[in-house]
Amino acid sequence: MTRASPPQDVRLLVREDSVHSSIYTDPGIFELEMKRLFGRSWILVGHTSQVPEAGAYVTSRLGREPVLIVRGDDGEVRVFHNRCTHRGAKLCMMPRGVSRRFTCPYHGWTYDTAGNLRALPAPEEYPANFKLADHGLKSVPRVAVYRGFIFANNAADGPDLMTFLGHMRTSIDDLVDRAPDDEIEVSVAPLRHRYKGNWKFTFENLNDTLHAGVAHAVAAKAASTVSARLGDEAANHPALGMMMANAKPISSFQALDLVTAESGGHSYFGGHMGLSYQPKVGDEYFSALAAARGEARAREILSVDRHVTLIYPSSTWHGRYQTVRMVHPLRADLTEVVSFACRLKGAPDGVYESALMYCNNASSALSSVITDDLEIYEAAHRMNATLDGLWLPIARGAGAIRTQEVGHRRHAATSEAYIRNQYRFWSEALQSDEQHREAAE
Amino acid sequence: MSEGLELKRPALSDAATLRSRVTEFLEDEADLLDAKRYRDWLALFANEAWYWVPVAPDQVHPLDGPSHLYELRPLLEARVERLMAAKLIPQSPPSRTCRIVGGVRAEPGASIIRARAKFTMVESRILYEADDLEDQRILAGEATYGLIDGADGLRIVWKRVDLITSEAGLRGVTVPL
Repeated sequence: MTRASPPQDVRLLVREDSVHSSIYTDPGIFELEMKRLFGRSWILVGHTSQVPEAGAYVTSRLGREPVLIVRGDDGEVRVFHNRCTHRGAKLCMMPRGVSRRFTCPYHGWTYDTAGNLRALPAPEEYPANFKLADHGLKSVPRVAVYRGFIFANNAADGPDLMTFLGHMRTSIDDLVDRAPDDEIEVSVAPLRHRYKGNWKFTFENLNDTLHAGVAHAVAAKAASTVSARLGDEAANHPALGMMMANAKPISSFQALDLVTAESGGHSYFGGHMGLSYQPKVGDEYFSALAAARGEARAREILSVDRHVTLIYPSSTWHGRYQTVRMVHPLRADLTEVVSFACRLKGAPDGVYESALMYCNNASSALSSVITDDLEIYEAAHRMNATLDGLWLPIARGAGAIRTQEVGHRRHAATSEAYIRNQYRFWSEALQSDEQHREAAE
Repeated sequence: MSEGLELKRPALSDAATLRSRVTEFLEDEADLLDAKRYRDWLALFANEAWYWVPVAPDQVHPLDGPSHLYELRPLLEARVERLMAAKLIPQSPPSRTCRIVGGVRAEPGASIIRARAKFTMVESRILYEADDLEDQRILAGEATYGLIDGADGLRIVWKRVDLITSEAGLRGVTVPL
C-alpha cells in the first residue's frame, strides 16, 4: 500500500543519484512496469530441456503473466498465454507434463500443440462467420532461444534478443560453455521462494557486495566457527566457504570489477568466492571438458570467474555455479524467485552435486544465508510503504568508471553503478510514447 | 500401588513398545525446538547424519534435484551456531513456535529403525508495523527418520521433511522444521 498518489511522470521519481521510495510500493508504478518494462523486454521463461519431446509442456510466467511453453508436434517450442480463448479460463492446470491436446476444463475447447483450436462443443450453433482458425491460443509475439534458454517478448517489435543481451550474452556462454557436450539441462522441479516485497530489491541486492559483510555477518561467523573446529576436514564442505565469503573485507570487493551494460540494465561482478568456494571440478571433469574443447580452451572456460550476472529485469545467472533464477514480479509487494540448478551434460555427477549444493544455499527459503536477505527485503518494503516521500541515495561510486569498453563499462565492485544503470533503463522504458516524443523534439 | 498389581499389567508388544519409544523421542525433539534448545536438538543427530527437505514429493535422492535444504552434520552445526547468535536478523524478534507431532509409525530394521510422523508447526513473529493481520503461519507435512538405537538411546541418522507446501514459493523459514 502506498499513501502518496504518484506523479504520472516517472522521470520525477528517479534522479541520477537517488530514487523515490514509492517506486517500490506504488501499485500504479507496478502496472506501468508490467506494461512498459516487462511488456517490452526479453524475459527468461524457461529452458528447452523442460520440453524435450513433442507435446511436453511446462507452465511459467512472462513477468507476471502465466504462460504455457509447449514443444509442438513439429518440434518447435512455442510460448502461449495460458488461457482458453473462450472465457479466458486457465487452460493448462498442471505445472508440467506431456499432452498432444490441451482441453479447457470449463467447456472443453481443445487445442493442439501448435495452439490451433481443434474442437469445441456444439459447433453447429455458431454463426457461419465463426472460424476455429480465429480462436487459436494467443501466442507471445516473439520467442527466441539462446543456447537452450527460452526468452519471450510481449512486444511484436523492438530490439532482437542478441541486441537486448549485448555483452551479457557472454554470461550465458559462461554457463553453457562449461558443459563438455555443449548443452545443459535444468532441474525438473525448481526451487521457489517468495517475499512480500518488490522485485527490484532482488536486482539491487545481488550485485551489492557491501551488504554481505553486514547482513550475512552472523552466517559467516557461524560457518567460520564450525570450519575452525573441523580443520582440514572443512574443505569437504564448500558451503561453509560460501557462507564465510560474505565476511571478506571491503578491500577485497573493491579489487573486483563490476561490469555494467551500456544498453539495458544488465550487470555482473567478478567472482569473489573463487578462493574459498571451489566447485568439485576434479580431474575427471577437466579431462571431459578438455577432450571436447582442447586443453587450452578448457582452461580458458574454467578461468572465467563472474559471480552473478543480472539480465534485467527478469533473470540472474551464476554460470560458474550453474544456478539460474527467474524473478517473477507478482505484485508491487510480492515477488517469486524460481531457481534452477543446471546439469552440465557430459560432466561427471560430482559437478551437478556441486551445482545443487550451491543452488540450495543461494536460493532456498530455508537457506542460512537467504533468510537474511528475505527478512531485509520484507522489512524494507514495510518501511517504504509507510513513509511518504523518502529519497534513497544510489550514489556510491558515482563518477568513478574504471574503463570504458565496447558496449560495457567497468567499475569497482563496491559501486552502485549497476543500480544507477538499472534506473536509467527503467526510467526510459516506463515513459509514455508521448514523453518519448517530447524528449526527441 | 502394590508390586502384585504391577505384575498383572499385560506386557506391551515389541511393536507397541517401539512405537511408544519413538513417539516420545519425536515429541522430545519437537519440544527442544520449541524451547530453542538448538544445541540439544543437534545432539539428537548421529555424527554422520543428514537432514533433507526436498522440493518434490517424488524426489528419491537429495542429489537428483535442488532441495530446500540438504545438510550434513557440519552444515547443521553452522545452522545451529547461527541460530544461537544474539543478533540474527530474521530472528529479531524471535519466532515463537508450537509443534505438534502425531500419527507416529515405527518399523524396526536390521540396524536402522524407520519412523514417520505428521507434524504441524505454527510460527509467530510479531512484527509490529506489519498491517496484514498475518500474525502466524502454519507449516505442515510429514517427517521420515532413520533412527539408531545405541548406548545413548535413539539417535537420528537421517531425517527427511516433506512439507505439503514444498513446491510453492516459500517465504523465509529460519527455524528448523
